[in-house]
Amino acid sequence: MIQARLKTVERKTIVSRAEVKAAWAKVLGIHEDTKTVRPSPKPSKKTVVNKQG
Amino acid sequence: MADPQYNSNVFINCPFDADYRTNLHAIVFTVYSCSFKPISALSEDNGADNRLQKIQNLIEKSRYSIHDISRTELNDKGFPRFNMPFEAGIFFGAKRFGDKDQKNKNALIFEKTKFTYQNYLSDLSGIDTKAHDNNPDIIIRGIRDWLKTSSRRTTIPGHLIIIDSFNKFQSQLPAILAVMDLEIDTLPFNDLCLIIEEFLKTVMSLSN
Repeated sequence: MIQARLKTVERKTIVSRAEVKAAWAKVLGIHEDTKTVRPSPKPSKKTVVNKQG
Repeated sequence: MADPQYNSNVFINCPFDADYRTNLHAIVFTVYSCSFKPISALSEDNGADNRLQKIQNLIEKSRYSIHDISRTELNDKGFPRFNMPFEAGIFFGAKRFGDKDQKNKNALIFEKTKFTYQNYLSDLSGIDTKAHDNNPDIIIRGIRDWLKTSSRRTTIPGHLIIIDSFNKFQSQLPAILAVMDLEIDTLPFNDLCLIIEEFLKTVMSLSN
């Protein structure tokens, strides 16, 4: 993993840093509060209908 | 007085067209991953400076510079592009005639195939150019190894780590552009830098 100290700099951009940060969080599926990656939700189990009942 | 970021600034002198896009992304990504700061003529947005003055200013405040002189093809009007060899010349001039800081300058010269430059820029004879074969992996390793050797910094990650991270970035780039309603063809250099910065920060925060 890249551990280097990142050189960030404020430049004139058409998008803001906050927008980019939020977009990456969305794309990478990151929950900002805990900085963890949320696993994709498992498909819900279909309700099995007992047709013989 | 030298720019406070002088020892971290890397001036990027390369093509900025669509054919070169992945290579440009690899260059910027690697410079950031090695804890340096990429700058180019496209970074500045000062209409008061003419282009040459802008380039001279950026070269002056950059200790390091990456020059890709591989673009020798004629454009659709039948002319070659001389900007990159010209800007490389300014960099070498600054190193030769500048003050103590300027004399510390260090350059990486890329070409597509080794020693091709001898056919069109023979004044560079004796300079150890690096051939990249238009391969981003080779570009990443070339920049990483050059920065590691020339700066002697111990925090620079290995090239395989950077390549792996870059591939993840490239695979996610279309998605983030879609989220932000941006198009790759018109993405400004500064916005590309911001997107890469935030990607690396996010990935790093997850690893800590």
